[in-house]
Amino acid sequence: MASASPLGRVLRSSTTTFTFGSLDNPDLPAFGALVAAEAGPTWVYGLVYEVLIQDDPFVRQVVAAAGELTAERVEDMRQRRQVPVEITALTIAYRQDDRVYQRLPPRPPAALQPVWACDEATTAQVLAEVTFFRTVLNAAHCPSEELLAAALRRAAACKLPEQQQAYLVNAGRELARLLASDLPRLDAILRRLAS
Amino acid sequence: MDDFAHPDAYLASLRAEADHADIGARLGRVVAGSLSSGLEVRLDHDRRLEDLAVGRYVVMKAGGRLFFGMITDIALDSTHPAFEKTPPDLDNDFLRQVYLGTSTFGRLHVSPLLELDEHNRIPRPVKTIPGHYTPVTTATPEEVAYVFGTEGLRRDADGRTVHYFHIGRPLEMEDVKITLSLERLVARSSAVFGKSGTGKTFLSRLLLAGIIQSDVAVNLIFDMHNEYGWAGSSEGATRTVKGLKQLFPGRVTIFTLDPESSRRRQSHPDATVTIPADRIEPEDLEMLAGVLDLSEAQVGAMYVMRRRLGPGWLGNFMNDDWVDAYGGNDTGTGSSGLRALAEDLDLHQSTLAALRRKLDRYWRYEFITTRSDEDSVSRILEYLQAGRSVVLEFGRYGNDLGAYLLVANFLTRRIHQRYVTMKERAFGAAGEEPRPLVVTIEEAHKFLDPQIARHTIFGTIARELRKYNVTLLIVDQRPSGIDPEVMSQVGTRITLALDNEDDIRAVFMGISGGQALREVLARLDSKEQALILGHAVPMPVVVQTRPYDTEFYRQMGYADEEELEARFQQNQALMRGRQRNRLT
Amino acid sequence: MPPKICSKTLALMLELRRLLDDIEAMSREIITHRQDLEARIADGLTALQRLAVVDDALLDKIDRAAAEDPSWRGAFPLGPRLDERHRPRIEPVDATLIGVDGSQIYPDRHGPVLYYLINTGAIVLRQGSGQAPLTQTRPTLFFREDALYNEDQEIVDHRIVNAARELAEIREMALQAVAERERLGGDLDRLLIVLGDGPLLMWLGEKDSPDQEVQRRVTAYLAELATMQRVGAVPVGYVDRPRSANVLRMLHVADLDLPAVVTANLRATRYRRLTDRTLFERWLGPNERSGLFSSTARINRVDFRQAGQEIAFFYLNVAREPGPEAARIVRVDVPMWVAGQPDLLDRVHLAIYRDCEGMDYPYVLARAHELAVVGSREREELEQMLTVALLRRGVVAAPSAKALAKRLL
Repeated sequence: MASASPLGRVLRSSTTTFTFGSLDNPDLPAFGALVAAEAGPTWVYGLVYEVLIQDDPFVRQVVAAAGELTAERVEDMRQRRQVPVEITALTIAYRQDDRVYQRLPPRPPAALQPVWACDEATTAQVLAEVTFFRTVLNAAHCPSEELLAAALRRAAACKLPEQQQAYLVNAGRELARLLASDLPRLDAILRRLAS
Repeated sequence: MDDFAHPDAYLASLRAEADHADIGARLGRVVAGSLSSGLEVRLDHDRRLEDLAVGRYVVMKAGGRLFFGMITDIALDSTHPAFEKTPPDLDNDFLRQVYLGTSTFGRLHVSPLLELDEHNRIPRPVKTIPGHYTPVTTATPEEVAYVFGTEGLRRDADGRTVHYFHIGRPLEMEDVKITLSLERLVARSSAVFGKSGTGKTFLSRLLLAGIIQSDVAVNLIFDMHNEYGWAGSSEGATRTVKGLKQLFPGRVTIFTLDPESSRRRQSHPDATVTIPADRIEPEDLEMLAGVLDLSEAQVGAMYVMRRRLGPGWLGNFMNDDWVDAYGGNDTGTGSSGLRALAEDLDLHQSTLAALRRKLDRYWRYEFITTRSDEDSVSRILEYLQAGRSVVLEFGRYGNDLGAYLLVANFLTRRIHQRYVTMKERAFGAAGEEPRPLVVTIEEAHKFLDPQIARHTIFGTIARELRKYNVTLLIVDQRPSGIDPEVMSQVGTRITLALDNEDDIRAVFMGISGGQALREVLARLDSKEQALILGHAVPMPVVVQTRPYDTEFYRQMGYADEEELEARFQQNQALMRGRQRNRLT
Repeated sequence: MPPKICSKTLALMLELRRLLDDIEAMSREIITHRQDLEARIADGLTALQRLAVVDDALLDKIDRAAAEDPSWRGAFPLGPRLDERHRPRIEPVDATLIGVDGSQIYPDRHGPVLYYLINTGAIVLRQGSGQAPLTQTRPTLFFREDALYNEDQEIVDHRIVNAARELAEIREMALQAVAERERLGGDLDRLLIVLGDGPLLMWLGEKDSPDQEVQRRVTAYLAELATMQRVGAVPVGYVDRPRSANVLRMLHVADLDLPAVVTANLRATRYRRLTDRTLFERWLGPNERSGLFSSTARINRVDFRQAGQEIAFFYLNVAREPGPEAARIVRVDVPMWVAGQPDLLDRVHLAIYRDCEGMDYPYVLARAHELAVVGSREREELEQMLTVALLRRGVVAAPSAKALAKRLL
């Protein structure tokens, strides 16, 4: 269902979001990617919307120092230093008894639970319905339009090539229905889906 | 709703539907409306407005019923006014696919016409409407044909035997024959409307042929422009078309008012119609008040003269010698001629003089005779009762409105009176009722405008419905000129294109919910498209009228010379064959 | 010690208001003391130059002091003068720097599971290569009874754990040196400098273990130094804020007459509460190092010397700007076999100075520290793993109530 190794572990969670600590590496999940963590008998799914690379005084110090930054130091900080990253995902669905429900889970994932990246098949399955649009659009402290567009594009990419356009058009229509009275917002999302 | 939960499945079904033929495919869903004002239908997003038209039928299945409706208006709508002010960027393919049909969409206005119970399938007037989001599909030819029924003689829903006459085909459905019930057509006064050049005459001829062929009624046709009797004019390849007498040789009689004209045109008239002067009553002339510009005084004078001078009043009044001789040479009074007459009658001389002048033109008409033994009325009546329709050609007098009005009104009043007598006699005894009669008049608004309507017999006939087995077939281009009360009694209205707003509105006078069809009427093609509504059809319908051509002749039973010859030969051969059999 | 990294300050539960008067008094005291210190350090500087020449008389006094008081920590000068100031005379050459640091989790008797952990971090940076350095961490979990309990059946305390860490660090230094030399294909031309955080000389303060145990540790430690020597790697002990006063003590002794070199006089040093650092801040300019000295501690002169690993040291100013305020004096420990080669010393001096660019502290040690440190989150993770492993075997491990209460705070 997911990546071979977990992306990180849950640091804190709530009914609507969960944040996990990860290391800055190429496998860092992208904005809009679907991640999953267990919460008791359920798997909780969330869309990554905030990647917080924490303030690193060490890097700041090295970079701000007078004199030239040697290549070795640059490469060291780039490749070897494991910058702790906090990633927050917006909870949109959960799986229980092999069925996926696009609504808030009964319980959020506990601290230190491993968080996994979801593969294409899972992403396609979890994001098949359109119910989660509202969850994303109504989320506070979240760049909803960008997130929804990114998640939809990733979900479309999980489909067969001949189905992708149809998936996006259908999603666009659903959005047109939901956001009928907020056209600037609708337009913002649709443009991001179109390009 | 259910479609959006599983987008893949929904899209697949959409594709399947699109692949399906267009007829019977879903257009959209009912979203608003009422029984009184009609239904609003929101078009599905893959449906193009450009493919639809007012006048088409749609079908809605809901609650165990099948509702028939007609598209009566088409509009654009959107989920938000901003879409009108700032259209989205439609050069982008994706945006266009999303917005069109979802945020911007087409709306149809549908007038519910008929409902059928899904099980017993008997068409009934609409008493309710389909619920929210009922799918709306275009009607299939089968469904339309079911409602109208097949052409020919068959039983109707109430078990009566009825003649269903094929009048035309619905728009976009070449395989369906729209029929109307001839019995119901003649049971009330009917009308054929349309601005000039739309083919009213053709259509009327069509209907009359149907009535004659089915023998549902006899016709008395006041043929103003000599179009109905023997031949009619045509813009088509053949410059003339066959008239009713050619189609139905033994069943149509041509009377003429102008024998010379008929002879010239070779219209084979059977008799000439004359109007005896001493039968003309002031009532007959009063309706000409508008045409002749008669004042009230003048009209009143006629009544006085009739009362005082008796039946021959007109003959005498129009006779110079008689007038001059009036009062004799009685110098005692000091006046003679007209003046004396005026004094005697206590009228103004100027009134009489003016009256005389105005009536003079008619007096010169050759069809006005002084011989009182000729009785065209009775002759016509004989033919009618024998089941033969009568076409009265006016010849040159057709261009004279006054003549037309006078003759049509004169004859019809008397025939109608006879009908009243016959009908009342039939009530009392077991005597036969008079044959149902349809009187065809053209330029009907001249007879039926609000001023005149109460003076003409036609207004009376229209109002009394079919009390005395007489109804009208009105052919007219100014329905707004017809008295609204009369109009509301017109049962079936067949309308070709009209462009005057008042005329369009007048067509729907007295029909509940009729105004909803206004757009349909306003958008008819200027030729050969007609909207039929009223008594003779189960629901309003727009048709491409049936052509009046050789095919039509054949279907009316007409056989030309060659065919007749062939048939004769056939019959001969048959008879000979039988004889031979007998001999051996 | 690595430079302090800003961390969230914990809320103090003191009532600061009550201390206002004391703070006032304190500030007055500080001013007075500062003036006093300034005066005495000026004396020291004078003495350094006055007594600069190293002669037998001085050396005798130092030997006498060491003999009189085994706890006396002085500096045995290895060069001709006390006031030497050296700048490297050679061109900079790229070296490979290996930084190693260690950290630990002490055993927690209130925790769910009893264990301790030592973690070393190492980084191998090849100057001038443009490559990303190699990094490695090596955690070791101590859970066996013989590791956890001493002969008195008590849980081992911090000192044991610290000693184990010290050993783990030197061992890591040697391992990394060997591995890197192998990677270089045995090429001995490339200078390999292995920096550890803290003195290179083992600290044996209070007796924390039976002699046998201590001896074992010393032997093991010396072996690692020998390994590094064998592969031509230079072990360096880097002391960032040295609090040592060895040179000052030696200066004090230098001013005494030989007979006066007795314990009482040794203790009454005029340079008390001053450090060598404050002295050399006023003496060494940027990129200057002092002369070489050797610690007079017994372990150095006896155990380490016998193994050929006697440790020498010098002070180095790693600052880039002149002046005592900008000065950053560090102490660099190297084995004697390095100290005897001036060119090598220069190269080590240069390599260190270069690595301190920007931070006034060696980059490789800062990184090694980062690699070694076990964060609280990681500790929690480890304990969760332990708890889960036990659960699988049907054992429920729970922290004590005290531990829980502490955690909440």
